[in-house]
Amino acid sequence: MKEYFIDLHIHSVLSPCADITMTPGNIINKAIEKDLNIISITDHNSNKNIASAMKIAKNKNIYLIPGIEVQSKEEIHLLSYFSNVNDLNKYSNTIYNNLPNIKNDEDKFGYQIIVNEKDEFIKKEEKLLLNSTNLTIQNLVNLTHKNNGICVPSHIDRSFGLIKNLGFIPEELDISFIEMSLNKSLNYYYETFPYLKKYNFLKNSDSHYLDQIKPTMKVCLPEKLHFEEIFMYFNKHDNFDYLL
Amino acid sequence: MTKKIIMSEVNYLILKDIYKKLELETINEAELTKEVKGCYIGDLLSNVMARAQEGELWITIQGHQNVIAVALLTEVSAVIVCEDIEVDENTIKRANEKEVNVFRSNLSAYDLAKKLVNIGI
Repeated sequence: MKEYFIDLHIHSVLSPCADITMTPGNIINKAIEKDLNIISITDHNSNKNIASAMKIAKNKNIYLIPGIEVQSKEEIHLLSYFSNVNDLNKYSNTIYNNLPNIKNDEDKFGYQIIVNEKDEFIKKEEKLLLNSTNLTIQNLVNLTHKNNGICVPSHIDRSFGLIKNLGFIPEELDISFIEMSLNKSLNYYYETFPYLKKYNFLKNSDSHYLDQIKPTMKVCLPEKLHFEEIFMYFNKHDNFDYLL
Repeated sequence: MTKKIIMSEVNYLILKDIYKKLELETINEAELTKEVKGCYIGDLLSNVMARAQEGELWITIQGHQNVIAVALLTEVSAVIVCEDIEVDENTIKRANEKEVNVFRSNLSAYDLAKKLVNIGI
């Protein structure tokens, strides 16, 4: 067993709200500098920097989980994680097809930049990514499962959060993980919303700037990492800890 | 001489009156004799849970099934989904099971509110 430091919510330059310095290469280098071992890049409604990011991460000492953060019809943000890029791509294609065809206005929303495997800017995503897909939270959870992924509602009690927008988590929603807000503790959630005790909580940085990237969780895992196993250890395990 | 209170002089409106005057589309009809005591407008359900009062009409653009649970919790007299927003199938099913009045209008929340003011809400 080995101790791993984790942060599973980071936006790259493809997300219009992220800083221009947030290239996958810079993110990976910063994560290594901060002693992170497992990270995920999760752009708004798009996967288009993940294939390059995976190639950049390949020769470095870091485990990158393919991810995405999708906005549902109810204006709720949901993170989805996959064991490989193929599964992420299948999910993301459906997402892209269900995003309204509105052109990005760079002055208003920011740049949406796609990079190559050398971390160079190659083109811009034209469709505005800061928008709601035409899919419900239930659709998104089902679609993630269909592509062998894990779906995690983002920052549940902040803007675009499941509890903030819909008041509470619908009981029949088939999820076992939720993401807490960065400045809150597990005890806060257990006391404020006792019904949340059945869920496993993730805490992530939701970084939009390089200096926000930092380890937010710590867990002991087997030396050889497997996607599903990483999630098995979250929150309800002796060796698990939040770092902020 | 004691003053006689005539019922017709008591000023309150029931859902049935409002439903007709606002030309609402019925999504689920339950009890239409409920008294309407005011109106609350909101789409963040966490906020609606905290603020909407018993007997009020609740105007929203949310069509998710949690709307029904929030309507039950706050005891609003009816939910009006405005701007012709699509109401999820599960929401309609839940409204039917739990006997919650749900209507729809093509008007905006603002235009509905103006009409409500005009009829005395």
